[in-house]
Amino acid sequence: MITQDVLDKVAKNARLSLTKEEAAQFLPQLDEVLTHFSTLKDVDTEGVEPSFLPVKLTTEMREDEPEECLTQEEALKNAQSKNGYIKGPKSV
Amino acid sequence: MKDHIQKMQTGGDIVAAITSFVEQAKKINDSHNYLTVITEAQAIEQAKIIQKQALTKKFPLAGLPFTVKHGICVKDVDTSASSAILKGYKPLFNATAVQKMIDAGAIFIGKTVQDEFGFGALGITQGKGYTSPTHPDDPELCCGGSSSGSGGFTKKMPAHASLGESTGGSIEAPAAFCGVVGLCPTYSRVSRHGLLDYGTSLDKIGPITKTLPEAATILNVIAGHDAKDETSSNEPVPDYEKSLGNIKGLRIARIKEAFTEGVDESIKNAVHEKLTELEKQGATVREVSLPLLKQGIATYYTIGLSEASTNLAKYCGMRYGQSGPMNATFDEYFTKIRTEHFGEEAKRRVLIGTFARMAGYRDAFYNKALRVRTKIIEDYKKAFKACDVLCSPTMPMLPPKKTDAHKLTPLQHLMCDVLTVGPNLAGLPHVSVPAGKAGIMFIADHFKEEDLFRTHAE
Repeated sequence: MITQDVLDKVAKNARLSLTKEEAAQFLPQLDEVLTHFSTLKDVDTEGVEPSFLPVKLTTEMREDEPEECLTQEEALKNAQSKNGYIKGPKSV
Repeated sequence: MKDHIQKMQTGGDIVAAITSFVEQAKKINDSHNYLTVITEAQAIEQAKIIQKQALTKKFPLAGLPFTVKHGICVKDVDTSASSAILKGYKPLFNATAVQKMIDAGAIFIGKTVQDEFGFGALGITQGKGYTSPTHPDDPELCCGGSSSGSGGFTKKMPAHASLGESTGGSIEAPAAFCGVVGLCPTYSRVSRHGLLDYGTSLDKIGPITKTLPEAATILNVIAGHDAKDETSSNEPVPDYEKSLGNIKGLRIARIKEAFTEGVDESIKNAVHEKLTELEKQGATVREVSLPLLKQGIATYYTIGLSEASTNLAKYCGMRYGQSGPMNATFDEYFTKIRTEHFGEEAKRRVLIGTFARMAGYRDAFYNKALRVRTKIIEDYKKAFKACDVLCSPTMPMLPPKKTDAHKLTPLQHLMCDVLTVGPNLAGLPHVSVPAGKAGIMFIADHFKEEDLFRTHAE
């Protein structure tokens, strides 16, 4: 169901770096789990709509009026910050 | 709990009571590891405020000590879902459910340990640096997960309620294992504002209490619409206490597939005994078949882990939680922080969820599971045409020994949720109530929590 190459790609997409030991441990475990999940193919879902939520909800929009919100100081409280901005790593 | 609240409503010394409860909590925690933090000073301050206000106002939960699962926001209190990646994160606001408890006069006393981000059915997969809690009756046994601390602590404390959270069984499993009541409301019945997400379309906050009437009292307080949660329902909230014990004529249907070979015989017997008792009190019991439930685990985990893998993408060392020196590219930095701080189970589940959403696999896994979910919901809806509540054991096994639980393969661990994933996938309200040494689970139709409370036998 899942090969080492695919696992490498999945880990890269998930921003996780696996050691050789972890990869060797995870590969057969993921294979067992995904093989079980693949039994979903046995269910006939021709013409069936997907359920993104379990109940039907009607979202009501509120009036577009400003309300109280966090101050800049509060919003930065849990992060590394510089000059009033959240600090991040280099992007280019 | 009821007696305690009545006493506090009628001039009881709330500060003295809370001081004494906090002392008890510390003692319990020393031997059982249920709480990640006890907020003693904050609790006593709050008790003083409620004591003063109680002179002129009747609080529905006056002076009731309550705890909150680690992944539900409490202002200025560490809220890390028992994960190292969020250690030290202190929210700037209370979750709506927490605020409603406080407004009702309840006193917050601490946070309960959980499996990391809710990833566990047994209470043995906390994040790095957290300790697995001890079963209230036997230190060798599992508490159940993922609201493990809430289950065990509720069993040990005399008057107390805890706010747990269930995505696929995280309220019900610890309730069944620890011998308490765990109620998971209809999806959207209780606001999710301030809950750290696991699966956005699956997460529900609900009470863990000693008895079903206590669960009704708490649900009366925390249910209702909240403008801060766009999925929150506008359905009116009835007085749940009024339907307690209204058992005459209640139509119960046993789920045939939940009484198969894989379920412990002693649990089946305990459930049958409980049903016989309810029949004597005026309920009718028949059997119903829900054959698609055998696809419950595959459907639930494909959707739940897909959602979890996107929800956990935000934990990358920038806005909250752990961070480090930012001397690498963003890809390298995010990868380093996530790799260092996520625990083994979190990594495994993020990998599975990422796989199920990836190009080339998405149609066969995630998109397929969403369609199977529709069919499962339709099956439940059909069943509710002929009954008021469905019934099954909560867990297929009694609490296992921790040493045995650690030997399970990841798939065997996921399979522990086999009986609870169905109602969670369908967003149906359900409750686990003690039956002998096990838990019996009742499931009702959407927004029909009242039918769950009708099962209460005096």
